[in-house]
Amino acid sequence: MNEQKKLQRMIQTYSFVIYETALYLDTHPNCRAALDYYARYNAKLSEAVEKYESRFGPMTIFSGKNCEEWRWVKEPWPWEYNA
Amino acid sequence: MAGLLNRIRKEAERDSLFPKKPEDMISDMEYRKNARTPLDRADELFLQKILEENAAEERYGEIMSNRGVHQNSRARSGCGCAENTRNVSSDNRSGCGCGIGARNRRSDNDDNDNRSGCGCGVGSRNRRSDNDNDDNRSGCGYGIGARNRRSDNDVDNRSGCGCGTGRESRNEGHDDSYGCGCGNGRTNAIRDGFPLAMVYSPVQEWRELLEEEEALMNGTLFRELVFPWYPAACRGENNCGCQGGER
Repeated sequence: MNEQKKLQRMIQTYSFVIYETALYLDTHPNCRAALDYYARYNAKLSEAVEKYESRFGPMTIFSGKNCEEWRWVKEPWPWEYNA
Repeated sequence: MAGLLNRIRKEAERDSLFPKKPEDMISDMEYRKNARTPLDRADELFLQKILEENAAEERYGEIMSNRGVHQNSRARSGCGCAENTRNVSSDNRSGCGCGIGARNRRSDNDDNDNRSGCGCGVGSRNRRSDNDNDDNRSGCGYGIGARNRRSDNDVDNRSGCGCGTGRESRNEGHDDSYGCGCGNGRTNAIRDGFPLAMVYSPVQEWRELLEEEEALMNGTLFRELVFPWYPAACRGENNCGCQGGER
């Protein structure tokens, strides 16, 4: 698995964990342990996305990397990178 | 009759949109009194079904009745299939009080009663003032409008009691009630006094988290929510198209 795929996998994993934690927090909004867990993985996700986008361009149209120039159409989309 | 006509005339005056002659309104009232709506007919079908089931219960009570006779005790089976039948102490009663309007009225302070299938039927009632112990009541009070009114401070075992529309079952003290409300006393569909038609779900806790990669592969972050699916194996000679259907 190349570097791009590894980073994508990492982002996918962190995103899933955050989704699960968010569902739990919907029914337990005051759970301190869950909130700390969410904050920790939110930071990890941001770091992984930043690492990916710095090397392989924006992941989505919402990325801040598009602000200076519209890189979204100029570089391969995330699913177009060869494995 | 004159007062009725006057009332109808006043109603007719108020009802200016659809004015009717008093004679027509009287005939309408009589029609409504005798009208058989689909709900009326449905109730009648349900009543018929109840009667058929009560007949089956009576036969079951006879089969299951305890025919052993103890001192000062009597074994009765299929008793009370009529109104106002009364049963007294140390009895083994089965299938008592079956039938439409059957009633079991007891002031009962004895012990070790075994009542099964009592009070079945439409409008059946079990009224007890009961301070004894170790009663075993099964299948009591089944039917439309069945009621179990108890002033009860003892240790009872009630199964299948109080089934029916509009029942008032009460479990007090250290009662061990199984299958109350199931109707025939032979099933334990409802245990521990849980009322019908309510969903009970334990509250999830923040514990036993999987590692992130493992969570993604299992579809959940929580180990307690891991429920692997094992599809049934394909059967028959023809290829049913299943993929990997074995555990």
